[in-house]
Amino acid sequence: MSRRLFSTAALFNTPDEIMHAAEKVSEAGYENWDVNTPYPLHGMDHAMHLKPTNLPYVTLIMGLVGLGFAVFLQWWTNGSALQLGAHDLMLPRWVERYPFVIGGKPLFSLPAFVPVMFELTVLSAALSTIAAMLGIFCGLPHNSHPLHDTDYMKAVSCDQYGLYIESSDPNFDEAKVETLFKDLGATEVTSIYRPFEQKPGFISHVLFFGFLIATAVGVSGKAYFVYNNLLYARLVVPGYGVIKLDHIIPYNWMVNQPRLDAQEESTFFKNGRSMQNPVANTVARGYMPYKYAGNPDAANKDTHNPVPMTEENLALGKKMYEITCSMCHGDFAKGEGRLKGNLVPPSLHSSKAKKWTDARMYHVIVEGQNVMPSYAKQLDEKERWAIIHYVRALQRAMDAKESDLK
Amino acid sequence: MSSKIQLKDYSKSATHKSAKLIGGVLMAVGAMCVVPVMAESASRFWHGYLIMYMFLLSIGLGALFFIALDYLVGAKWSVPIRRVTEILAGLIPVAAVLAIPILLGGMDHLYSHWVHAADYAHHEVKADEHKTPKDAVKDAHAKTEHKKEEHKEDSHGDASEHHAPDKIIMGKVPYLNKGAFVFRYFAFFAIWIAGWMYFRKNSLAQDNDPDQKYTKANTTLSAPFIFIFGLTLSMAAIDWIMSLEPHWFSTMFGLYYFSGCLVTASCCIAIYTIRLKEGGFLHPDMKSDTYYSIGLMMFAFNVFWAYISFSQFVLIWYANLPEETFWYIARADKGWMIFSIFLMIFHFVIPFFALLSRTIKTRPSRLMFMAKWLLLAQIFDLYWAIMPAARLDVNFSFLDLGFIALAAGIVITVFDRGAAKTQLVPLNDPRLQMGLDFRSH
Amino acid sequence: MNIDYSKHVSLVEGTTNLREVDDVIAAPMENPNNPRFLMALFVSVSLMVFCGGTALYNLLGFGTGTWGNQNPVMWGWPIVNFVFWVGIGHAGTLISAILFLMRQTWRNSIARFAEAMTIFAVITALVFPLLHTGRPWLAHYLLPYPNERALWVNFRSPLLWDVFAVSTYFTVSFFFWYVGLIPDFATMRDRTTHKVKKFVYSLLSLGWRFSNRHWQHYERAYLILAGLCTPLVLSVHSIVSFDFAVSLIPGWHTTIFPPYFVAGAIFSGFAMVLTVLIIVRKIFYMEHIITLNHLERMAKVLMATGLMVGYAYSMEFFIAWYSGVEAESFIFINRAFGPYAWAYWTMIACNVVFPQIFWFKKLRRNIPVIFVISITTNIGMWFERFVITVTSLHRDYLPSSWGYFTPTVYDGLLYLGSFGLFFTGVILFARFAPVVAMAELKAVVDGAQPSHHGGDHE
Repeated sequence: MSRRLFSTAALFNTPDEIMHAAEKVSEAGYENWDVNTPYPLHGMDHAMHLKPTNLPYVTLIMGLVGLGFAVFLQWWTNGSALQLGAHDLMLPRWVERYPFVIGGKPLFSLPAFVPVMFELTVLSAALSTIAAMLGIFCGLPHNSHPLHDTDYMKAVSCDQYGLYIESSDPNFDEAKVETLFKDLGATEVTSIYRPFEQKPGFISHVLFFGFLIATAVGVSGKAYFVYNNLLYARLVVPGYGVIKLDHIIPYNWMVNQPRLDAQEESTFFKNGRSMQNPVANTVARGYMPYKYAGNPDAANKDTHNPVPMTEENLALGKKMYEITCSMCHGDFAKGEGRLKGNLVPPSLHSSKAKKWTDARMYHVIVEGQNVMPSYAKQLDEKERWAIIHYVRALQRAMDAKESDLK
Repeated sequence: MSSKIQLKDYSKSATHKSAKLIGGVLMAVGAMCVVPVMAESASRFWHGYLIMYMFLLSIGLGALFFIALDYLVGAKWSVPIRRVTEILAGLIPVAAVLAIPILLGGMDHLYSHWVHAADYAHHEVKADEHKTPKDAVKDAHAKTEHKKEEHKEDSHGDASEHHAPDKIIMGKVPYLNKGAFVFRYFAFFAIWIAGWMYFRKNSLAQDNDPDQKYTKANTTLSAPFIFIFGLTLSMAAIDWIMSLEPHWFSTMFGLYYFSGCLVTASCCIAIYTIRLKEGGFLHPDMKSDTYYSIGLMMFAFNVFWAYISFSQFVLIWYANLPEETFWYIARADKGWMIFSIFLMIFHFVIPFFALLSRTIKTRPSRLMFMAKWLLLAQIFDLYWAIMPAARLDVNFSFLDLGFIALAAGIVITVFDRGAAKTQLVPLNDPRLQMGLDFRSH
Repeated sequence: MNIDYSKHVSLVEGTTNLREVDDVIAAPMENPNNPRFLMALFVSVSLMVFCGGTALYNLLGFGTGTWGNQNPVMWGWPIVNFVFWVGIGHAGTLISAILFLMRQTWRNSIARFAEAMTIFAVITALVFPLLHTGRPWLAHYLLPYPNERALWVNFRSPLLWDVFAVSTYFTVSFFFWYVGLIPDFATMRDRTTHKVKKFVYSLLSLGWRFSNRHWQHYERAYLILAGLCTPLVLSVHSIVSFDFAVSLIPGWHTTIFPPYFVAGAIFSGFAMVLTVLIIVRKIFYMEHIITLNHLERMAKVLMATGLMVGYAYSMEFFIAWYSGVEAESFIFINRAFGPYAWAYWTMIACNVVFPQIFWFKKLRRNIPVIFVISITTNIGMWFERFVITVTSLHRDYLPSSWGYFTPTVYDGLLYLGSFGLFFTGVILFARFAPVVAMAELKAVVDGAQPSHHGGDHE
């Protein structure tokens, strides 16, 4: 049975004795030794000849880091008048910001930034001081030290004052140390051994804690996504109907709002639709009478499109087409829209549609055709013509000629 | 015990002789710089004089506050240096004398806005009757624009020309009138000097009679005295500085001046503790821990000053009400902006980082340097608070240097005379031994 | 009554035995539940669950309209309660940090408890602004985090300063508290024989060994933290006061607010500490650790801070007249003689008048009297926040929109629930952690320090 000696330790009864002992041990030239007291004793650092701690430098530097971060954060998000966005500066999109003036204060309002600068300085300084003190300067957490679970430890954690010299000290000699302690008036001198090599329990293993943290993050992350998906879930109850879960869940990220969406059913209006026609005999701003009203054939003879075919107008046409037309006619005007159910919207690539003049197509937009209602109130004149340009472009794209490819 | 300690006699020392000389020379030089300006620009002279007066008063009041506070909380570390504080509080009666010229001649120049307002109170205020307070503030702005020209007239020695006061000032006449002002001057100084003499009398009596009843008597007085002290000091700050621009108001102003008092007093205590200790006049058992505590006090009160000044500024800046902002606008144009920024750095930023260090707080020479630095900073602070009221450009001239020299000379002389007459350690104070045993770590 | 000024006052009466100190402090943690503890826990948990729960359910279900907040008083009880609780949360850090820096060793007996109260009071306070946002589940919008909307918080808003100030304060106080607890957890680890407790205490104590090489860094860290907490504690309530004072509302916009709020916070915090400590020392038999001397000193602090708020009240009144601004003088006359005069005079009586009885030594050493005054102070300080918030808003610049604020039953239930939350925290803390800092207290027991520093004998 060979237990490895860790140290020889002595207990003392009064603060004066331990102070005296510490001085003598220090003078004797030992290096790896320490004093354990239930509370800090005034003057012990001096008696042990300890160097002053470097902790204040950590505080100062990390405080300044916090301050710098606060200044930068507030300058970048609120205070910078830089017109360049994240894209121009080759930065990731998530640092994008829009500086704007609030309350007539300048963008970079130093007086208003001082409170947050102060708070972040203190936060950074305080947390770093604690972390550095425990982790770096004291080497904690350290629950497997040989001193733990000894009677020596139990005594110094309550009401006695202990001193030990480690066996790793170059001057260590068990007998000599014991005599020294006895001479100094120790009430008790004990040998402290290293515990048997034990496999650390899985519970104290770093990997175990890592696993716990990873599990916690994983589970909460997954829960978040599941929760968000539930907002869109529909529960079909036989005999009752469909329950929308976002009506039950209290926090629905505003998915469920009292307003009516386009194309939605509504019990408020008699005709059951959320989209309503304008009140009869009202005229919209900028309304111009339509010259081929009720006369599609006349329209088909007019070949004029007053809006020029420019890149800008094509972009407008694309935008308005996708907002207004695409849900039925489809993104590519092939009649593959998202809303078709019983109704089958025609493809705009048919030879009939291709042969129509622009004004004839304009006529359909203004007056509607079959189930298609009039879109005169949703689109102004320029937008209508622009849409037609876009449809022409789509038609040509689906049926490109040899010459177009050049 | 410690009563066997033989103290060095200050009144027979070389320090006493040199301090007498230096104090005298500084006062003479200061007076020589200052007096010619009096004829040249009366307004400038009186504003400079007010700065010096408020500065000296702030040292005395701060010291008086520390005496009372130390008794109140039973502070131990400060007992070995209490005599230093007591002697410094002796600046209060000096300040009382220095105020008399202001009362006799300076008020017309300094407080011209309101000093004659009471005369109008009996007449009807015709022109201003229909005006709202806002209009009156506008008037005040307009007047400040004219002020510069007025001062040219001032320089010809004619200061008795007054505008009819506006409605706001007329509203303040019950408080801001010459009679009440002089009455408050007498009342405040009577309270302060009485308090100082009472503390001092008991403290000195203990030197001959080691009875604890003196400590008890002072402790008993300290609590109510501090409360009355707080009220009177705030009122005095409003009277002497805030009413220079009587349209302006800030509830914090009393505290603002008070924070300055704490800074100046702790700096003076630092300087004289170091000087006396290095000269061997204080208790030989006193360690550098006392320096550390004084340094900490300087640091803490300087931060307190910054906190108060910043809060006052940020609230007015943020709310942006014309009734209040004009005070700061006057300190932001005509070159004052640079002075304001300079003050912020000189008074707060540099001393803050310097005094963070433990070595600076325990090494006498460095602490002495920082104390002088902060005293200068505090003079600049008063300069910043008072001088723009005259609506003049920043113009740091011989006049201001002269007043600084004069102030320094007065402090040195007053302290020197006080020290020569007093036993410099309260040897029979019951807390002395605990104070000497005090360790800062 | 004669005091010997030349001697330190003993901080612990009766015993100087360190083991006994441990025994007394550890007793509540080691003894089985006593019925008084269970009773108290039951009351506070039911307050929290039934009153607070009802109010919360109602609020989340129907929105902030269930409160009495109405035009023109848009900041009603929730803000009043927030400031009230944050104020109470100031005493802890004040006692642990500022009094530590001033080397007022008498703080060692009460610092731990006051710090715990800080933690729970700040948690309680945070409930109110969170609910006041209307959608507490979106509270992370208050933090500047990178987001796909490219929207950042507005750093020029005092409400955002509040977010930073209160959360920093909470974090730093919490760790400050924990750092103080480490040696005590280590003591508990070495005392207990229970396996689970031992595991938990070992984990919490981080394997602290009472090594002087550690104490050296530990003490310096504690000093630094105290140094950081001191301006922090001042800043927090100053920033809370900025919420009001940067505005244009007469009665809110006044420059003395920051120091005045801080003084008020210390005042109310000390009152709450007194209220709770008087009960705790009785329940846990700690009369010789938290002595009458402690209570007397705290009574003195109470009186001093009461005078400070009194100074602020009178300064506000004086400057309101002195300013010559009509709205300003009106609001103060309205406070004292308008429809809310009852609240104003309650405040004056509780905060300024009643504490004056502590001028008499007999009364400030009389525990029932201290207890009553501490409670009236709590009431007075709540009314102070009520007066500031409500009386300034209910009659602002537009006489057409003047009104009278009436709270609803849900305001009241939520407020009661907040007491439940606070006391549940405090009671559980008292049961499971050392309510007095053992290591700090042992350090100031008579004879606990070496007779000469550094051992240089004469």
